[in-house]
Amino acid sequence: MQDSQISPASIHEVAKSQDNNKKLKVALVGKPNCGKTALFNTLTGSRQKVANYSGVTVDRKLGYFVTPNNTQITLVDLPGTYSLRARSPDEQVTRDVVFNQFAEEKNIDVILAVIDATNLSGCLRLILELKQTGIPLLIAMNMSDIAKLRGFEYDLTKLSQILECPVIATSATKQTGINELASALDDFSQLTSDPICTWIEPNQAMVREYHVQVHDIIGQIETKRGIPSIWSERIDKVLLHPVFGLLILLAILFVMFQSVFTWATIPQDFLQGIFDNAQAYVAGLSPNSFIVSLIANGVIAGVGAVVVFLPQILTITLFILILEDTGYMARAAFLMDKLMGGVGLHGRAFIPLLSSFACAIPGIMATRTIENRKDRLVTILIAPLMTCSARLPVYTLLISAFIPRKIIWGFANLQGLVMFALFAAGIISGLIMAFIFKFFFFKGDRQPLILELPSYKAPNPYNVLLELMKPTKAFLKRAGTIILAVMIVIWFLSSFPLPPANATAPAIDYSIAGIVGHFLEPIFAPIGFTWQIVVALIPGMAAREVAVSVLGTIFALSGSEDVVTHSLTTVLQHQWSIATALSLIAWYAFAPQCISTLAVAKRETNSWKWPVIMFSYQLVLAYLSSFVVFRIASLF
Amino acid sequence: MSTSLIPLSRLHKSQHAIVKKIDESLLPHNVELTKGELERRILEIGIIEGIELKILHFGLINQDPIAIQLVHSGLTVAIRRNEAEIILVEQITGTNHAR
Repeated sequence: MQDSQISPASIHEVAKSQDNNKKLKVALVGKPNCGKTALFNTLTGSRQKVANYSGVTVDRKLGYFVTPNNTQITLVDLPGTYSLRARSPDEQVTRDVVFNQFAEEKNIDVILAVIDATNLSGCLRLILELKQTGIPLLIAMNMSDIAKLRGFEYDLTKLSQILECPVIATSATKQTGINELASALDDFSQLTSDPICTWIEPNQAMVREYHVQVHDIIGQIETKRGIPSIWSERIDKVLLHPVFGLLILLAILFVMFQSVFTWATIPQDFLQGIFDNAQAYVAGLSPNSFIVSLIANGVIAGVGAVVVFLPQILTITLFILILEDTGYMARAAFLMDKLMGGVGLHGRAFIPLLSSFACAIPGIMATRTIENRKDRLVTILIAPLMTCSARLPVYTLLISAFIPRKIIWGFANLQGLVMFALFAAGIISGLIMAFIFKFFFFKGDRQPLILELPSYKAPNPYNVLLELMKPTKAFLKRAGTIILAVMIVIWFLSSFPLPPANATAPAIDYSIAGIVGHFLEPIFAPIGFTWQIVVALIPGMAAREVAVSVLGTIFALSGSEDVVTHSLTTVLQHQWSIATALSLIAWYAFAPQCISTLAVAKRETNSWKWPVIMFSYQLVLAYLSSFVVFRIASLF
Repeated sequence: MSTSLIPLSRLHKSQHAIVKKIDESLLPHNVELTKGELERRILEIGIIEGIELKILHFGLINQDPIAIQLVHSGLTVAIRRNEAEIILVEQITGTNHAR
C-alpha cells in the first residue's frame, strides 16, 4: 500500500503541464458504511450540489473536482447498496444509474467503487456485480489505514489483476491516497458507445457462487491476516447488553436533550443580545417611521427570534451525526427493534424517526431505507409527531416563561425535564398511532430484520463539519427567505389598517390580523387560545418556529412597551394563564403545523391520500389533547 | 459433541457454531417477501454455509433480536429470532444446546 499525505485542496488546483478539456462523469458506488460519503466529501470538499431527480425521491448529490491532469470530474454520489438487486427505492436509483437506464443520469463514464478494507468479504460481491455493467471500474479501497492497524495486508497489484481494474488504497479520514485516486481517473476516457451489460439478477445459488469467488479472491490477495476489531466486540458487550445497552441509549438521549438546554443557551443568549440591541438601535432611529418599524419590529425581531435557535438545532444535529458516524445508530436499531416491533414498526424505522427530531423532512426522506411500502408509510405518517427542532423555539419560549428554572433530584434541570417529557410524549403518541395505523390500514406479515452492525469508528471531524453545514445553510436560507417574507406579510397585516385617531385598544386590534384572529377565536376558545395565538398559528404553517416571531411582532405592535425592555417571555407571563400556555404546548406537540412536511409526504408517497390522512389525524389529535390539557390545567 | 443440526435461534450467548444449511421452508412466521428473497438476504449479508459464528447478545424482550458475530470477518449482524430459525447450525463449543 502506498500512502501519500495530501490535502484535498491540492487536487483542485489547476493542472501543471498540458491543457486538457477532458470531462468525466463518475458514479460513486459502495455498500452502506464503507465510508463512501466521507470519501465524497474529501474529494469534492464544499463543491457540492444537492438536487432532486424528478419522479423519484432520491437526492441527486453531485460534487465537482479537477484531477492533477486537469480532467474535470462530476462525481455522482449514489445511495449505498448491498447488491444490484435493488430492494429499496434508493437502491433502485443506484442500479438504474449504473445500468445507464436512468434518464437524468445517463452517460456515466466510470464507476468509482468504494470497498471497505476492514470488511472485504462484504464488499467484493458488489464489485463482481458491478464488473458486469460494462462500465469501466476504478476501485478505492477505503479505510485502508484502519485495516493496516488491525494487521491486514493485501496485495493490491494482484487484486487489480484479478478484477482487471485499478485499485487504490485510500483513507478518507487520514486523507491518504486521495491524490492517487484523482490521478487514476486521468487514465479513463469518455465512453463513446453504450456499455454492454451482462448482469442478471442472481438467485440463491448464484449468491453462494459469488461468495465462493470472493473467498477465493481474498485467499489470493491476503498477504497477512489481521484481527477484526476487538474493540467493537468489547464495546458491544456493554452497548448491546439487553439492560445496560438500553439504559445507555436512554442516557444518551437524555444527555442530548439536556445539552440543548445547557450548552446551546450560551451562544443563544449571545445571539439574542445582538438582535435585541439591533432592534432597539434601529427602532430608536426614527420612532414614527413605517419603514423603521418594518425593519425593527418585522424583520429584525422576526428573523432574530428564529435565528437564535440555530445553536439548538446545531447541537441536536451534531449528536445525530456523531451517533451515525460512530456506528451507534445501527445498535440503537437493534436495541429498539422489539419495542418498535411491538407496535408494528421495523427496527430500521428508528433512524428515520430519530432524524425527525432534527426535522421531519430529512426523517421522511430517510424512510427510503425501509424496503417494505407498508412499513415505510407508517413511519412517514408518524414522523411529524417526533419533536423536531422547529418546535424548540415554541417550547423553549413557553417553558422558560411558565416552568420555573430549578434543579430537582439534585441534578436535573426542571425545564430540561419538561422538554424531555415533551420529547417522550412525541415518541409515545407516535408509537400509539403506528399501532393504530398498522392495525387499520396495513395488516399483514412483518418484514424481516437483517441488519449489519458496522464496527465502531471515531467520527471524522471534517465529514461531521461538512454534514453539519448542510442543515445550517438550509436553516439560515429559510430564515432569510420564507421566514423573512412571512414576517413582512405579518407585519403588514398586523399594522394595517391603521387604528382610528381616538383608538383605545392596542393598534393591532384594528388590523387585518386582529380581525382574522378575532374571527377565528371562537373555534379555538374551547382550548384556551387567545386571538394572538390564533394569528400566530396561521403563518406558523409555513414554518413552525415562525409562530414565535409572529408573537414577538404582535406583542411589539400591540402597545406593550415592555417588549422593548423585557423579553417576550416576561410579556407572556403577564398575558397568558398557565393553562393556555400548556394547551399551546400540547397543540404544538401534535398539530400539523408544517406545510413542508406535508409536501414531502406527498412527494415521497406519490399521492395526496397520505398527506391528507397525516393532516387530519394530527389536527384531531392536537385539538383533543389541547382541550384535555386546557380543561385539566384550568382546574388548578 | 453433537452432530445434530439446530436452528441458530437455539444457541446460547457466547456459543460458537458452524452454519450448515439455510432453508427458507423452516420459517415459523411468514415474512412479507417473495420466495427465495429471505434466503438471498441472509446470504448477501455474509451468513453462508461453512462460516463460523458466535452469539454476542440477545435483545431484552423475548431474547429478540439476536446479535451474532461472523467470526472470521468480524462482522456483526442483527437478526430476529423468527428469521434465525431458518439458519441451521452445528454447535462447536459448550454441550447443552437445549432451550
